Amino acid sequence: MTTEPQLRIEGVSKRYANGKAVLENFSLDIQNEEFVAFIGPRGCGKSTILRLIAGLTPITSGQIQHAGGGDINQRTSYIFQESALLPWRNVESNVGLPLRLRGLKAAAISERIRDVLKLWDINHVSNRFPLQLTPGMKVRTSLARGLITQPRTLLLDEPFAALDAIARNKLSADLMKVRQKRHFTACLVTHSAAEAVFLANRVVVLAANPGRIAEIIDVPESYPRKLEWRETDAFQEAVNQVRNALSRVQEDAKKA
Amino acid sequence: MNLKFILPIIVAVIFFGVWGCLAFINTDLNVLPGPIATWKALWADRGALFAALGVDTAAMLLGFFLAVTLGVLTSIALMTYQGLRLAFAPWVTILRMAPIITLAPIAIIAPVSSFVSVLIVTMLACFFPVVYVATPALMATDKPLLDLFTTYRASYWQEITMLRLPHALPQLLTAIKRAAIYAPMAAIVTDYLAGLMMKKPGLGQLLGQYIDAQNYAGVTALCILAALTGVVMAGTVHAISYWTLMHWHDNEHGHA
Ligand SMILES: Nc1ncnc2c1ncn2[C@@H]1O[C@H](COP(=O)(O)OP(=O)(O)OP(=O)(O)O)[C@@H](O)[C@H]1O
Ligand SMILES: [Mg+2]
Repeated sequence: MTTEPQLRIEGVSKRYANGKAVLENFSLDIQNEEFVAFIGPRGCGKSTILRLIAGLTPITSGQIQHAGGGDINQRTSYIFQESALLPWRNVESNVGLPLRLRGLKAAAISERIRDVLKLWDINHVSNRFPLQLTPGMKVRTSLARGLITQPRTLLLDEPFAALDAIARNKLSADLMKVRQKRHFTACLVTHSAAEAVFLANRVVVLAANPGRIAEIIDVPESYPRKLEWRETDAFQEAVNQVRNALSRVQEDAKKA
Repeated sequence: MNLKFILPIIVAVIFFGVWGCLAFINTDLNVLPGPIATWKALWADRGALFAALGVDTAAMLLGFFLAVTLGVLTSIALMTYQGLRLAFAPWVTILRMAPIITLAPIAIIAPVSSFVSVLIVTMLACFFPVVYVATPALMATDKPLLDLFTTYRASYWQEITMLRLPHALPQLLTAIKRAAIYAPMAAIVTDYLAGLMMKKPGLGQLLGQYIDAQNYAGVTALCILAALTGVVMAGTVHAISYWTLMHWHDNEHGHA
């Protein structure tokens, strides 16, 4: 890990048009190739943090610095909860979309499409349309599309929320594998403490109204982490730490 | 399964039976020709009828295509500029409901040629229904898909051609289908009113001639021919929408 953080969020506040403060003086440094998970109660501003990083919504005050400068959109990819696939394009064509939007010709990107399809194990469904895909394949397609631009930062907004437990675990394990091959910094929003602990270096527990950091839990286990690691006491302990932090946040909210 | 074919055929047989009986009862009046008389009239006058149909069809098809093209372009402008939308929305709503018969006199007020008259009225009759449906459809694009295009820095025209238009296509095609049914009606009414100064008679003018000659079988044959033209046009649009949308709809009837 380098000394200069990949992402530096400094004193960021966010108010939407209705004037409600969603985030207040939010600061966090995210190191290069670090994996940070955000977890917190509904509506505490998790998606807002990712949207601010992606430049999808303007910052009210404070600043977010991306290492290396340049255009944010060349370096971040946003994975939406709903997969956000275009129903009239097949898998291959959905995955190639970001490059087509940059003006590249279909022939020039077929190789790169093939690479990411293989990476996510969906090359056998490359001609299918979203309607013909299982929920898991949809998420894989959306992840493949996110990685085709070779982003420095991947922003994942509850990407596995629509999946059953088995598919979820399989995708977490695959995300782990993919990260060993393609090095990127990741910010994951999730409601699952186990998923957060399994994937992340640090789990950021958020409190609501206004959104702020309540606790940060380090997960020192080295990568790549195997699915078996989830059976160990160390894993369980980290998960309990996150869950306890979440219940403290909820109790504080009740008192207030 | 076979009922799907048998029942409509029974309905057709009953329809022709009732029609024949009514015509038989009314023989003295000679106002309602039977199916056989109608067929004979169609066959006997086929040269004049199809020549007349050809005269109107050219102007009608051109008017229809112009209406669809201009309608979509207008909708894009209305979608983009709120001011335009506020100014024109009530007029679009009212004018799309204006009966064709009230539009036709426009063509007589400015009688350049019958071709131009039919063209203008067909265009007016088809334009407003397209704009009325296309404008809200272009604005109803899913938020995550718009966000996706924003994160990849899509240009205004990329967003329209690669996202908003295909997303609105199902509703758009339904509106175009309706316009395809209006077009022949508009053409005939206009031709009937404005066709007097035409060298070659169109269907409307031929209709006038038949009425003057008390050739009611001819009138019926002509109406059936006009209705069939509308059905063929709408059917063509339907076939196009079936083939373009079949991959991304739950079933082929989803957009009918
Ligand atoms: N465009 C917007 N305009 C106004 N308020 C908004 C907007 N987007 C989000 N909010 C509000 O900001 C707060 C935080 O929203 P956000 O979507 O970031 O929460 P979240 O933590 O992602 O919630 P969830 O767990 O439900 O996904 C919520 O109270 C929400 O109602
Ligand atoms: Mg959210």
